[in-house]
Amino acid sequence: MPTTSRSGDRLLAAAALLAAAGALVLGLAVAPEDAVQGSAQRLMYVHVPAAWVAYLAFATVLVCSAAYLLRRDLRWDRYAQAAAELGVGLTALAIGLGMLWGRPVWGVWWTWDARLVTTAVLLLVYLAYLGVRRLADDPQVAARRSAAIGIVAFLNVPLVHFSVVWWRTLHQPPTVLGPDGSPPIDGTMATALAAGVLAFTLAALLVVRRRVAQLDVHRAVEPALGAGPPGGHTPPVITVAPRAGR
Amino acid sequence: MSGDLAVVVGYLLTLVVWAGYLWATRLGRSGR
Repeated sequence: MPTTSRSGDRLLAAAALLAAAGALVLGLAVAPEDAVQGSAQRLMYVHVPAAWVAYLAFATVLVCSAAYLLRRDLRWDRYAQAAAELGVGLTALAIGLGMLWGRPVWGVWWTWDARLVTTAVLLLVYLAYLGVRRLADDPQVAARRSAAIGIVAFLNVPLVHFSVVWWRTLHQPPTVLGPDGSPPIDGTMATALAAGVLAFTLAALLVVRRRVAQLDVHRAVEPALGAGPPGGHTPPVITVAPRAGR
Repeated sequence: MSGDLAVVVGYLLTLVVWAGYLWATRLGRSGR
């Protein structure tokens, strides 16, 4: 990795760490306890950023997939892959945090609510996207197929976001990004949420940069290693021979 | 599960997920 890239990563890591520390203090100590939900509401300061940054990751997949199809440059494909891998983890995290919140507040870990079901479908679709990536040996073929899926899959994101508006759901409607644009949220709580979103966004940028750098290195050494089986690596052939004269 | 315990578990889970991503994306670790 170039030196400028490494120093950029260090700067990003420091900013993410600072934002995470601020978000922790604001979310766990400064923000008041919710009058109805009690302390469980503090999970919103990580649940909502996880969901939003997952949306952002999937939007990145969409943009990079379109850019790949236009330019046929595999670097766009590597950005799409890195963003999808992050988006899948954050969607799973958002579901897990939602379940932890649902048990004390709703009384159940899971219910077949439109928001929950569409989010689970979103997770499965992008898991399938990552699976399709591994089916073709030729990187251009894999990139072309996954770019098409990466574009179509994004249709799920507005479906998840507006599911609480379009259907009658147990999950509450959007608090901040509501259709009328008026946030009915306490100022300190909004600040804690904003700090969480900032920390998640900076950490996501760092992870995607590191993953793309890792994929760049892999791409650079792949020809030397030979074409390996899908999902695996062919180890370099090392020959061992006695020194001449022995 | 109480709300307090849910918060502790949730924040720890978040920490583990991010630590996992940072560990998995360190340079020197290959991956497709």
